[in-house]
Amino acid sequence: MKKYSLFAQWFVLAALAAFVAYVLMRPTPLPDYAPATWRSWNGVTVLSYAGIARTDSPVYPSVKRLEAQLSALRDAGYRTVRPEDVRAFLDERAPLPDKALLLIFEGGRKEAFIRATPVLQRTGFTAVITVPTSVMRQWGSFYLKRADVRRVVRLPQWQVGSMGHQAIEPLPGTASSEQGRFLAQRIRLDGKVESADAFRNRILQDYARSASVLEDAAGKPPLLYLYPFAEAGQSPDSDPLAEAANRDAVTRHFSLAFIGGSNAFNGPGSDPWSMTRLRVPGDWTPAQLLAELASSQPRSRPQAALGNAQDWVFEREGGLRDAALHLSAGAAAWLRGSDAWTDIEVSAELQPDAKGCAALYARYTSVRSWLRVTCDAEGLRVQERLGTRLYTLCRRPAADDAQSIRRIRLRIRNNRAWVWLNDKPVAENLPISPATRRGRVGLGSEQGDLRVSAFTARPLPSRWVLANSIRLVPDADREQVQAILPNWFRAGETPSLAQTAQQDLLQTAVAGIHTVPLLTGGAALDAEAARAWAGAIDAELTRADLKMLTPALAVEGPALPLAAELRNRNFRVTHLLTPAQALEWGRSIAQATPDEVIVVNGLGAEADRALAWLLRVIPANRLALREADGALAPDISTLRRLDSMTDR
Amino acid sequence: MKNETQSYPEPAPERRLRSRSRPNYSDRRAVERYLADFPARIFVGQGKDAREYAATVHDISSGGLLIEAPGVPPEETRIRVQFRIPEGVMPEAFIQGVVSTNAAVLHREAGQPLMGLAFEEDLGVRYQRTAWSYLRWLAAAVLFVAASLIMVIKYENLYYFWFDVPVFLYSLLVGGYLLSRFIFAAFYGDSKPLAVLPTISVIVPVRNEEENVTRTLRQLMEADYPRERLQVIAVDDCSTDRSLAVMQASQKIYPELVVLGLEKNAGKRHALAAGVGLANGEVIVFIDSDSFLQPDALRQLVNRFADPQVAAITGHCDVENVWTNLLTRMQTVRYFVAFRVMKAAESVFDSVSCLSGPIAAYRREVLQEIMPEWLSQMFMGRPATFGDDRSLTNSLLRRGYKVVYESKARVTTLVPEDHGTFLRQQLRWKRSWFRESLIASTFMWRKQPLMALSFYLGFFLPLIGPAIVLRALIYVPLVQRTSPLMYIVGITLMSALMSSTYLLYKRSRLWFYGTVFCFYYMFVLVWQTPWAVLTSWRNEWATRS
Repeated sequence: MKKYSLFAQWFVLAALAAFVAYVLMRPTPLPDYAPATWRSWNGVTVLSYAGIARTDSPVYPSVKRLEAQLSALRDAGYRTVRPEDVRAFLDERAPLPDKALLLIFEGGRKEAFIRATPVLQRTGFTAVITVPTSVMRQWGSFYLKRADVRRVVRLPQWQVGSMGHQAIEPLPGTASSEQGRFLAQRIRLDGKVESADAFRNRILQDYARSASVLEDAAGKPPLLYLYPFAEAGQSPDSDPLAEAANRDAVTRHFSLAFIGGSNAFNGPGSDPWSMTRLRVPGDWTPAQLLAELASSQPRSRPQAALGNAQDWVFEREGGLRDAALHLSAGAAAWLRGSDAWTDIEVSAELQPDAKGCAALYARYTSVRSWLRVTCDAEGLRVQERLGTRLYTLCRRPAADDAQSIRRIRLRIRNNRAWVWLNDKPVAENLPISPATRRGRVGLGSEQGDLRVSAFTARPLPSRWVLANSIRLVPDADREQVQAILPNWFRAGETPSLAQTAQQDLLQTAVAGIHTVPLLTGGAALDAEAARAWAGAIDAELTRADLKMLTPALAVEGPALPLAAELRNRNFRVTHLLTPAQALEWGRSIAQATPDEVIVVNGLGAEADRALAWLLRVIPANRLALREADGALAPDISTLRRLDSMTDR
Repeated sequence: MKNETQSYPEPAPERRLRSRSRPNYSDRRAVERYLADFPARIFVGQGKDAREYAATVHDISSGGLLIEAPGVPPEETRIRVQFRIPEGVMPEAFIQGVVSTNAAVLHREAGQPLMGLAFEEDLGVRYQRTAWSYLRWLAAAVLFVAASLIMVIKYENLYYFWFDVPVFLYSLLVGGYLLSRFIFAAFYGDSKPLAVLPTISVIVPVRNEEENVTRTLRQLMEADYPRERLQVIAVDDCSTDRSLAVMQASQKIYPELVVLGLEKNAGKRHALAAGVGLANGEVIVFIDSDSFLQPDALRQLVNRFADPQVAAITGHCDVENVWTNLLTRMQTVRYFVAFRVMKAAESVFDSVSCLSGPIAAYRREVLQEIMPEWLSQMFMGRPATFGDDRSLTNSLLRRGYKVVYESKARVTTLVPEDHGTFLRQQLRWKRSWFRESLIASTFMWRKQPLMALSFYLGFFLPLIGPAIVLRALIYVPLVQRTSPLMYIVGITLMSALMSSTYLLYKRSRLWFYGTVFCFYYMFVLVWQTPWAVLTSWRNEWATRS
């Protein structure tokens, strides 16, 4: 008996020792993070969690639910990225994984950190926990303290972000945050209202203090900011100065900032300080979450009709019923997957209230950047928002026999827009700012209720044509052409534009088609010869008053001396490379020159390999690939921009 | 008549002393009677004829009571009596609130107000059916809930171990250590009676115990042990009070009692050694002069000598002056847990770390083997004058002997009633604990694996206890601005284990004082540890009266 007792004791002791050794010696799991393998320029999905509870609730998932959701995301191919990766992507400096995901845990809750960490370790994900820094000094263990923040950043799975300092608290003199939002309204106490300067300073101080507290606690400055109450001073009841004050403050201290919303996807060109996120409901199943994310991934498939509710993201009160889309006053509906659309054609039948104002949006990236067509009792307007300024590009008063249903069609090609009202052109060839490059398509009801009875939207094909004249492209196919690359200049010849070439250029400009003159034979030029030739081309284009219409030139091969000289003369350069040249180029460069476009002028496995290398450092919208012959018309070689080839 | 609390029950004097009773004490009272002086009410008759009389109880047992009720008519033979036993009058298990029971008048002298009543149902039987049964269920429920909650907390500590390794490691170690005490104690089994009782010599060292030594010696002499196999030797270590005279007075009643008076104060060890020099028993038992034996304590104590490898046995010590005040009530629960749980857990591995002074038995030849080194023990250049019990135990354990605990060999002892004396006693105990544990750590690794692990944890964890308490109660609230609630919950749950164990065994309302003691330890006693460690070289007794 004693022998068995001793054996049992040694067994227990050995088990304890093995357990202790395992716990102490096992390495901290590292996240699945491999930037060297990333190649996508599509965008990033951003999800946030309000907290983690012991049991599921509509707001907070349980640990088990969280693990199921994140495991499903991992199995579906999503890979997490960090805030600095997102910023590099938005700056077009680096790609992201194919299904990039940024996870945020809101509110600085300790239990979220403690419960989520093992889940992150098992799934290989990373996340950011955002902290309203004033709670770090609060009594109790609900929120992260300074020592906890240090613990957070020591783990490879975590980074720390900010939710402001006092920004989450109600304004002094108000009972709750609903009544007085710290970052959006002025303090009113004892009959006095805060001055504009004091208001701006208070906001600025809040951002600065939060950043400072977190930097002190974490040892490095936080990159990410999450606006409390999901908005940055843009809501109707915010002070008129709030938006600008918040913008000024957040851009000084943070690289990324997130508002709320129900759209998880942020495409290229998204405003870094106004990015959207989806707060995941606590009771969503993994299947629901995946379906939601899939519906917001970028698409190039056209929308032939209103579709169903899964095709739209609604802001405020809106929905589909009775074969129409309905929006209440101030509401909006965004077409899912259209975030990266550039050249588009969209049409809608709008029926606003008698005193209502309906809007059709395009190239919408944030409240600070969009193009829209509005119609109301007074007439039609085409407007463009750039930052804080609103430009009216076109205004047409309402006709006497104006109908209650307005059929609006909007077409945008490059930096030109065309508008039809009830099938009659009302605006042609409107110039649009180059800053409004891409964005989602949507509908809005600026005033009153809106009923939309029909809707279509499609991205326009974006082909580049290697042809000397647009006339060589059949009329019916011209709408697919985004740019034409005529071979006007050859090395060894004096640059001289024929009259027909000049007319072609003007004609294509009116049609919204870019002309990118192709320079051939320049690959072998040395620096001096390149300088001379570039100067001659520049002079010729200037002489013909066509330089403004030809901001970009294409060269064959790397032609580095020639490309440098052209850039010195403020031309953007497009390189037409063979697959072999493209492969060498992709392997050798660390970062592409801004605005540089690379065309892989070939097909096959080598071209695919070259693309894979190039995507490391060049955004897809600046890469193009040769298409098989006859894609557009016989005897015309065509190229296709890479980011226009996404299909879902 | 008084209604206030007594410190401890006072048994009614046994009329038949050992010298006049039958060899197997079969003529003694079967049930103990306790002196009392508290009010009662007597109800006579039924319905409209019912009458109530005031009465005074003068002694009480589980079967009846001696009551003074002048107004009760002499012809009444069946009455109803209602009373509340004050604290301290009877053993704590009987203090269960108001008792209302029918009783028969057994005897009443004519014209005298005193009556002897026999309860219709023995109080013990009654309580077994009611209060004790409920209390056992309550204890089991509290034990289960506390243990379950502790397991849940430890599981969370394990799951989130990475979050705060030092804190959770400590929590797991402490929780594991304390739970293991109860688990191991559950494996402690009863001993079987010896067929042949050995001869025993009981040594009682005395210094300034004139108030208690008479009772100690009387209970020893009246113990249920064959007279011819029992030798009692009382050694007076040069008392400055009347202890020697009192002992000599006892000797007149019990001529076989050996009284030895030392000529100069030599200390407890030397007093014991002097007694050992006169001892002729096969087993030598050391009893403290303020320890009061249960009649069968000696008989039970020697049972485990049936195993020839057992060199020494410690008995079970409870508190005598239970009811005096809050301090004694806390010590009551603490003593019980220290013996019935902690020592029992060690005894499972035959390695009890301390043979307690109130009652301990040794094989004579083993004691004589280790006595020289024990008497000459030095620590940091000074003679070790306290920690005799631990030091003796270490000598045995080092030699590989089995040292065990006997739960049925019960004594009670008087504990300090004021905080000053108590704290000085605790400081002395901590010094001896530290010193002897340091020595024991050099050989305890040779013991059974789990015993060795338990020992080193039991040594290490209390040493860092002050730092843990400081962190939990000062640093965390002030610096981290976090409530110490979880720490306090942990202490409460651990204390609930101890308290409910006490309730399970003792069925006493004192069980809650176990929790009180744990908090007393956390706020007061734990801070003695670093001072005890730093001053472990000091050798004054400090609590000697």
